[in-house]
Amino acid sequence: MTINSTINSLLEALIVIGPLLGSIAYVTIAERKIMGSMQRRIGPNKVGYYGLLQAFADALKLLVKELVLPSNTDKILFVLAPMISLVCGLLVWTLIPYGKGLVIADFSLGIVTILAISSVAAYGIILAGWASNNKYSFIGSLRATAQLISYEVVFGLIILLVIFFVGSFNLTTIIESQKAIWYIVPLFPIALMFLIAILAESNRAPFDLPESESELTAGFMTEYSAFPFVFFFLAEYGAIVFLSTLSSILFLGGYLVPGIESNGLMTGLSLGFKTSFILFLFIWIRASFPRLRYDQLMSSIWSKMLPIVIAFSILIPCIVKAFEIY
Amino acid sequence: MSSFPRTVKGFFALGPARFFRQLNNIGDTKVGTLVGTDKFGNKYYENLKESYGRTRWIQFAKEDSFFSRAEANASQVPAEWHGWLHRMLDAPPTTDKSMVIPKWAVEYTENLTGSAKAFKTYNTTRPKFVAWTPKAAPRA
Amino acid sequence: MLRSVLRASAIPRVQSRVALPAIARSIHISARVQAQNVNDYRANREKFPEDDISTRYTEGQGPSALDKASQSLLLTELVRGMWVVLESFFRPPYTLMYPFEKGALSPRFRGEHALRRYPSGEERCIACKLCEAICPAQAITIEAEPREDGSRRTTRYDIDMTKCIYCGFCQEACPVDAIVEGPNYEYATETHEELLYNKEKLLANGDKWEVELARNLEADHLYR
Repeated sequence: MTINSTINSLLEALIVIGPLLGSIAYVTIAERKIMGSMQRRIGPNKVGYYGLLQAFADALKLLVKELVLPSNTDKILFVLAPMISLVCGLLVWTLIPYGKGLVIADFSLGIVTILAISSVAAYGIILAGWASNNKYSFIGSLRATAQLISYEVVFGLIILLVIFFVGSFNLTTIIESQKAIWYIVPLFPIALMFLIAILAESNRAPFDLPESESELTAGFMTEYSAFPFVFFFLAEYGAIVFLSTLSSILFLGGYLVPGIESNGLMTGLSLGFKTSFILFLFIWIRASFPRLRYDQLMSSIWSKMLPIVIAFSILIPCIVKAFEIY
Repeated sequence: MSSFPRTVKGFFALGPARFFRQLNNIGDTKVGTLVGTDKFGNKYYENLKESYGRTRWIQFAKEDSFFSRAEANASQVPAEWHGWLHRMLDAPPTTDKSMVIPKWAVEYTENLTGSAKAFKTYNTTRPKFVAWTPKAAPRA
Repeated sequence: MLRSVLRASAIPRVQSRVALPAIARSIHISARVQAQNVNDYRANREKFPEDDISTRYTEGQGPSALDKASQSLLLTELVRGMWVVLESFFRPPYTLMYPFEKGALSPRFRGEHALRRYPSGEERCIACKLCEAICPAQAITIEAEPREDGSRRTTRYDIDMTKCIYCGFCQEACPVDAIVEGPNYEYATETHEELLYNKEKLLANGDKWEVELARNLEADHLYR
């Protein structure tokens, strides 16, 4: 009985993590190919037909590389940091509903749990910067922390705005409440701001200051190689895929197919397509815009986005109250 | 790279065998007319509808396959075809009457570096210093 | 602008009897320069009609505050930038699939060196050493001796291809078109020694590439 349930939960975890790692691998290829096309080049095209196996070649290369633990580092924290990042990056996937009832942990406080886990994930970056004993790593991790904390404010407030509409923290309820209309329609400016916030949350261009190649070599990942680097890499791209999924759940109706009552494979495909669209947006934005200056990053969050979001967070409860939505 | 419609079009125009042969080599599906074959068996194709710079291409005699890597090499293009492939000349050597191959021309060789036949430099002059070879006169 | 800066530097350091601290003084001076510039600009206002806001927008036209606010809130400028990128996304790439497709070459291309022969098969080089003299990298070494038939020929014609800067002066200097830079650039080697070409290697290059060398010289002869 207990063994059965253990095997069951292990299988559940594997069923989620396996395709997730596959999708991360193909997001890296998609990023390089799409950026290539946008810059009128072809991108990787030698490993496998049209470069489709490039990610596996890269992963294999990283795994057979030498594991370097620089001297004068805090060895325990140095190894612990990528693990924290990766574990937190994988943990949030337990809360994502892939269909009605297709969720590992259907918490009633699902979205709050996601916020909590993603805040813990910041420790991985902070510890990596501290433990590396390297000024680039340290500055990179400081920047990453400041950016994460700043954008977490707007991120949380925007989620709260959606919660005002739904009246529940449960992700399945959030999706099911979008049967009438996806929240991107009534909350369009908010959805745009959410897109900007998740770009900053996942340290993506144009907010990639924590790992700005031209100034900080690789930011908090400067001293990492081989396995720990793979962990960070997976955590980073996992976060990108996760935030895309989250925004498609919050604003694009998650697994819902418009006009059709669907279940099983259809719902999963629907969520996949919406997530892919937002991932394409991520890559498209990276190919389009230059990196922000640090003061622009901070002023855009504290003096532009935050006031607007606060204004909306006054307006929307008023609307909800006035029309007695629930 | 090619787009998805181009790949599909290429598959039907080339047939499966040539399609995969091209993917293993050029990494793209290119349909064109065969202009000629040189003495090594390299085939030369042309399609003027391709984008600028990609109108002429070569299919090497030594081709990669899915299972093995051949020794295809950019320097395997012989001198007669070199100008046409690099778009210096309009006409290929098969139709070019003005191309004169001298009698003393030698067989074209590819860049042989790394092989046993690689060029090894040597002195072309007579030695300026000759070692002294002692000759003892026979004693009386 | 320059004149006003000069004028500003000509201002005595202490204007009044009260000596200003250094920073305050510099602010004072720059404020004077700015005021001077503004005065110059106002005096010549009619020269800059495009700067005159009153002529650009007449009353009731131009973007309203609401327009501006909605444009910045909906990121229209950024979306326009992204649209340009998306247009490129749907256009074919410029990449050539080397070595299957190759870049265009000029007949004047200066690649690997070769020593040419006359159509009879007699080598052209007469050991005048003009190429050796003009070579700015001193990559060429020549030694000459009379041959059995009495004609002057080189016994050594070495080019250090790792010294050569491919300027083409040697083929410019050559009176008999013997040394030329051919169209071949695919002669990279694994060792340094293989690039120390001697006379035999250069003659072999000439024999190998003569088909194309002759064509290229012919294509370019009108310009020489």
